[in-house]
Amino acid sequence: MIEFWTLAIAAVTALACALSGTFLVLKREALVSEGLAHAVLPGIVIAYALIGDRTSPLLLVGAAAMGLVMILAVQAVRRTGVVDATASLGVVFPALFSVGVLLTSMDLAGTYFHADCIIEGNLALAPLDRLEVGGRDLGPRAFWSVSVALLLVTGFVALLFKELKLLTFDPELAASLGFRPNRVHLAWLAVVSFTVVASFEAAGSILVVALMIAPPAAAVLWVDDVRHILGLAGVLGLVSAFAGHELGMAMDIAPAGPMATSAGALFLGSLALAPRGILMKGRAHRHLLARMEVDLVAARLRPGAPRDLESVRGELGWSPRRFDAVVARAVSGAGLVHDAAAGTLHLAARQPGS
Amino acid sequence: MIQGSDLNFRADQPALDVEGLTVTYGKEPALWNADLRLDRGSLAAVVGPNGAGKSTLLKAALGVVPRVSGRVRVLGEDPARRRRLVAYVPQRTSVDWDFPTSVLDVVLMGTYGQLGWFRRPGRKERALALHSLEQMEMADLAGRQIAELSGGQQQRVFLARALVQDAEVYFMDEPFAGVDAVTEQSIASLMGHLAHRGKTILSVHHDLATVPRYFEHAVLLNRAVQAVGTIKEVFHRGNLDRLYGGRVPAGVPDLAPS
Repeated sequence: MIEFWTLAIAAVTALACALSGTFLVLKREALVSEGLAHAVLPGIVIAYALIGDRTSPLLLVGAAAMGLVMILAVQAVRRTGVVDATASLGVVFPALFSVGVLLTSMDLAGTYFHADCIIEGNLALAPLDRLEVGGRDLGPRAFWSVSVALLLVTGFVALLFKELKLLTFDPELAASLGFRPNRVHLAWLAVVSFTVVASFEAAGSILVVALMIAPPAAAVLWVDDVRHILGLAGVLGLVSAFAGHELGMAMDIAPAGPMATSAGALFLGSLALAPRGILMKGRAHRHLLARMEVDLVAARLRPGAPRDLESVRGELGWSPRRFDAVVARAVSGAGLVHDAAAGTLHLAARQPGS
Repeated sequence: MIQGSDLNFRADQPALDVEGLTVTYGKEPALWNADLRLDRGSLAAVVGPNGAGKSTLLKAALGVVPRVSGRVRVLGEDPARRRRLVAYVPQRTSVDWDFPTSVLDVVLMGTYGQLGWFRRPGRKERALALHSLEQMEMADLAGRQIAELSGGQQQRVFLARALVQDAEVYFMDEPFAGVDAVTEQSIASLMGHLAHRGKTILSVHHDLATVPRYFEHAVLLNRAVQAVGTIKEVFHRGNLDRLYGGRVPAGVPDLAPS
């Protein structure tokens, strides 16, 4: 049963992260996930110190609010015009994270945190922390918090898909149409921030980033429609969760590391194999080049007027090996006639109707 | 619902009426006490040096930049109440053309304003978008990914998106930038066609040499509006020298004596 809940928490976390990360990747602000994953730490500690009850749902809300504080601080730093968007994020989140680490070491949070939980969470123990209402056991608390996050994310995307897409692609048009892109974006980041906080306990800061960015970054290499990217990112997130969980069981280690590794491996695999990946692009390029080579040879020939091989090769400036290979391809594919005895090339007379 | 559902306007109201407009982004004012009145049916170019506030003027007219002072009226009302009657063509380079979406999808974004919050485009919107693409001679590329478009095709997509809004007033930010001669011609004829139908066009334009060919009016802007009127009235060497600090390149036709 514990294993079931571990897997359930991992799956819901992966799904919520992948969906909320998709628009970050599309808006080219993937680093925001990293920023949130670090900036919410002081939020969690402070909220815990203030509320004193680690079971309170207010803890999640307080910590998520810290994520929004970070976003607003980043926007304020950027507005000064001293540093660009990425750099202002880089200035703000390490500062907040260091405050969080300080507070953690000052023991403000009591026994709430172990230092290593910050990095990779504590998925293995999460199922043991139960949510009880009126004496009834409703399952692990972490499962419920990531489920709420998933519900918020899917609800937001389902309701405001058109608006999110518009503000991601063209915020200026969104503003001119009255869709208030800044406010919608901020509301969206609030949901993302909540997702980060809810995933934090089970997944830790590094795994959250991996689950938010790797699946959508892999998905954009396969499909080219925002809906399909959302769907595929969700599937890849789930696959990472299951694969990571199995891997962790097999190797008898905590599942967080293997999950992040699986997500990374899926991305690398996509980068290599997907239609927009490296191999296919290279193949398409080679294919194009090969066709161009044949065309270059054919352009120097006329039907029924043989030309000396060497003079054609000299015009093209190709090595004999390359030239022979192209001629061989051209003879089989493009209607070139190679008279080996005379050492000449000519175009075959055009067939009627071809 | 989105604001700007007020579709009634009086025919004699100016398309754009700006009084004492001052806008700043924190440093020097981008616009200083700018006054501008544009009649309906105007086909006007906004010209001026870099940093003159040309794009800011458009954004203020759209009601999307905070004003320090001044008043903006579009067809007699606050811009926020005229969104349904205004189409905006941002600079082509202001968006990420690698964004994973199709040509038709981008044009459909022009219908979002009429749809308002939450509602998605349907069959009717699709037909409208296709029709706009036809007008820009882009219908055969409707299903194409936008990442595969040339610069001229990108600009046609943006204009088709503005057309689908069926607006009264069109604000365009450098629609001719970086397009080939054929596209330039079709954009110009589209503008003329719209103005002929009584629509108003205010377009930021950089190539002084083509202003008299493509536009009927000119707005000479350098933080403040220095002159506004027909090409004959205001687009002459004296005004342009003043506008650019006496460094107007050769090749700009002298239309009227200064």
